Amino acid sequence: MQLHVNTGDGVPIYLQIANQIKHLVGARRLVPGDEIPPIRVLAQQLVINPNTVARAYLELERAGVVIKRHGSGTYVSEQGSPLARKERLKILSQRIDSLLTEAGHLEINDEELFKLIRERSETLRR
Amino acid sequence: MNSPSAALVWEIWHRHRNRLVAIGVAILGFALIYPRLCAFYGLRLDLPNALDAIPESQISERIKQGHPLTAIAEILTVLFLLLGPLACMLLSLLYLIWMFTFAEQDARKGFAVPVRLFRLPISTGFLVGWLSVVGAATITLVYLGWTRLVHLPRIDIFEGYPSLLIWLTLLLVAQALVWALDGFPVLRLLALSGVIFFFGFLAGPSIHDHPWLEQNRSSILLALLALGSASSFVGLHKIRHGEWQTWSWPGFLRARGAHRAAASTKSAFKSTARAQFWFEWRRSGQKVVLATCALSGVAYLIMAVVAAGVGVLSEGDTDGLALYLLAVPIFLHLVQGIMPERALPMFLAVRPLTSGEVVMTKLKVAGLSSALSWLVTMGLLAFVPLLGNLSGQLDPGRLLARFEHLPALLPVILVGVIFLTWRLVAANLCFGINHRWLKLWPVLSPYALLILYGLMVLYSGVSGFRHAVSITLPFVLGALVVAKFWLARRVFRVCLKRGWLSRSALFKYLSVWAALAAWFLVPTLLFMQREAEIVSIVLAIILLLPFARIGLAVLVVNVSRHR
Amino acid sequence: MSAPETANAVEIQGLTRKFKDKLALDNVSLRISRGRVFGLAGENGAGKTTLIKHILGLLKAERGTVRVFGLDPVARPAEVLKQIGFLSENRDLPAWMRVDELLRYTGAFYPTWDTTLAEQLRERFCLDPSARVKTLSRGESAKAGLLLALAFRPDLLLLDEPSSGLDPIVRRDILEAIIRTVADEGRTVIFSTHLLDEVERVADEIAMMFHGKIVLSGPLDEVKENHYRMVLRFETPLAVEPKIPGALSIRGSGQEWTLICNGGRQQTIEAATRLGGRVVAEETPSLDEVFIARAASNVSAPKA
Repeated sequence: MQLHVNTGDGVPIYLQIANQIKHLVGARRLVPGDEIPPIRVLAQQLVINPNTVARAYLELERAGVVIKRHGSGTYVSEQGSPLARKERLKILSQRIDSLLTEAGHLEINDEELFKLIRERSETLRR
Repeated sequence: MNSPSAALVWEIWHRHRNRLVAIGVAILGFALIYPRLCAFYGLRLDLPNALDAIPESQISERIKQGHPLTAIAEILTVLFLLLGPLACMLLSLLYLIWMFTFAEQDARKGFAVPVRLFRLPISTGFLVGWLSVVGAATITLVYLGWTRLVHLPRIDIFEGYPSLLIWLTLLLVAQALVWALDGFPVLRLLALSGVIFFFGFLAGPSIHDHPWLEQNRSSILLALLALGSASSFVGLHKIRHGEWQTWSWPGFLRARGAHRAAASTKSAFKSTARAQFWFEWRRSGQKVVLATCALSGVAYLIMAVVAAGVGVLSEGDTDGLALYLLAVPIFLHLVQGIMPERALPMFLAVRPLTSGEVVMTKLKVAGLSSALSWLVTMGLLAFVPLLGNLSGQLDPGRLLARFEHLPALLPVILVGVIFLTWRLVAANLCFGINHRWLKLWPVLSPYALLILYGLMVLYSGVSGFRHAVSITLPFVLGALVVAKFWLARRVFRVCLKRGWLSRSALFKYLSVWAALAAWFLVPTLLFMQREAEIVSIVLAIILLLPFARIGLAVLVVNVSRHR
Repeated sequence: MSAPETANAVEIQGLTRKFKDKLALDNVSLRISRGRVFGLAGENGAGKTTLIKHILGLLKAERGTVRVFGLDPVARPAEVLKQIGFLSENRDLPAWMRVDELLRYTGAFYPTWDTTLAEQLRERFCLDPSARVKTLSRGESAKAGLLLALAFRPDLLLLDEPSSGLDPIVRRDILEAIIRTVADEGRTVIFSTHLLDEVERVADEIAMMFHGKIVLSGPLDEVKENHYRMVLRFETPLAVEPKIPGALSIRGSGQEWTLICNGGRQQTIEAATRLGGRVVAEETPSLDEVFIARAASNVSAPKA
């Protein structure tokens, strides 16, 4: 599981970890039943405080993405899949917000923007 | 600072200005005060051999009257008055030579020429030339100051000794050795000790026994001068351009080193005391013993070579060798005693180690180094008669005949010598870290006090004065002994209460102290009970044994640890 | 003869220290609980090393008290030092010792010294046992020093600028070792540094020092949440810095200005609006930025 931590990001580290794991679950790189590394191991791997990792895991547990099985570790939860879609949409809508704001700054209206999106989508598919 | 030469000179001056001023003051002081002092005490400086001024008849009479302590004090005082200025001159010139080798203490390389000099935009030839020229000029100046301004006593056996050429050659050879042998500290030490011994030999009294050397002395020195300059240049050039770094010890020596490293999978230390002892031994104790071996060994080898060439050494040479060997451990321990030790290094300060343990370990290490150095010295001395015969005063056979108790007292004397050498280091531990010149006092204080006493005795202005002084001596010593024990009690109490010193360590030290006291006092009481000054002698011995100082040392270490 | 189990590893109250004329520590009070990673940030000369020396008992408190695990490090140095593993900034290891001798010698002082752990660490740090300390590179001697501090599993690991002058690989090794310490046994770690991104990754609580005073202290999360970086856009370009109360630092030119503030978000926005600006971005600043902003605001404010 490859995660990255960026200290100057503006986003707290535990959130970065939680988000990235949610990404991975959403992108099916982590399927329900997969084990997430224990807190200690991930902390050593990423060279961050174990408490931060613990907080990230707590956040994930609260969101229902992972489940902690007593004594045997943390696993991606079964209910991961339906929530994944919601998570995916949420992440995309955040990006869309930034895109729209920037388009506003650059003075490009909505129609031109949608046209551009369609063009880019076709280019990428080819 | 307009030119590199001025900058270099300024740097030398600035770094050593206190000591240079002290030398200047010493010269002037001696010039003004010394002749008057000698006249005051009735010592004549115009004798061909100033040592004749020692009132020998007076002294042996005093011994017969039962005042050995006073006799010793008088001898020491006269020697001090006569040889004092000579010793100052010697020390100041040696110090100047050391100064102009420009070596600094470097963490990685030990004593070496500082690398920053090589980054300056000056050529190697300029650096060598300038340091040599300025050094030679300073030494000449100081030498002339001593010989012309101060009325130095003449000692006929040392005639030719204060020769300027010898000093200049020594400067250039020392520079050459320090610069050329930069990466080889052991080799450098051996070479320097050989050189110093050889120069001492050239300047000393026994040169008269070697007419060939005596006649060609100047040419030898000039040749060495040239060789020294050339070596300095080559050596410095090589250091500057890192040429020595490609050189390494031949294969078989390196293999031995690696084998030793592999074999050192020793088990852990059994206790912190042993670990600390190992540390102090490796850090300082070992060096003194090795230096003794190096300095003494080299001297012996040189004389052995001379003996092989000449057949049998003359009495003068043999005497010189014996005296040199005796002086080496004393000198080394004296230097160790006054070397500045920076406040407890951080590495030690953060260990869970009490100040008492630190001090006790230093004492133990100093004791071992003193004992081992003397063992080496005695061993070499035993082989000296192989090379030649000792003169009358030093010949053991004749000494044994004069003092019939000598064989019985030999162990006492041996332990006494080891003890006094140990004391040179131990007595100093209680004095601070900062003021190096202050450190000479605790080490030399008993001798200084004796000299003070001798000065008072020699003063013959008021007739009853000498008598009065001898009568009050026991009381003065008695008061000092009482003060010593009172101070010790207070200091040790504080150390025990605060936990800086453990009871068992204190008990061990007390037993050692008591054993030493018994070792010295019992023979004294047995053999000297009929002397009039027996009380003073006993009190003096008790004063010599460091007691309160040790407690003070623990206090000082503790203060430096928690500023 | 151990002190009662205290919750705090280190307790400092009102510590003041002067060196000749310079005030090195000015009424410093800190409480560091067991099992936490505490980061001490500050510029060079802020007083971090002085504070650390007080914890070690190398300096005696002129005014105020210092307690380590409930004990006074000056009165009971042997007991306190047995529990502290210290890595000094200068790495003053004896130059003549070999690495294996270093381990053997240091191990004799600590009853909790674990020889197997020492060996493991030595191998992990790739230190040649027969190498003399004076031939070690800077990174290697830092690792050797860290080894000595870790091998006896101290209750308190105290590091003074552990990463100073080291390449990124060695820095990572050191941080990893710190994390492993905390993760494995929940021991307390205090480290001082001016590399704030290390603090962000690794610390639970931080304190920032400036000219001998603590200007900021508390859990890292709170500190980060209380500071924010706002980008303002003004309709008309401003020739001079806008004066916005509550802003620790303001930078920019013309129409766009970035400010770092802490607390009082609403008032800041109102003040900005009054001056004719609007907020275009709002983010959490990095600790570096917080530190620089704090330092700048301390410089401009009159010294108390």
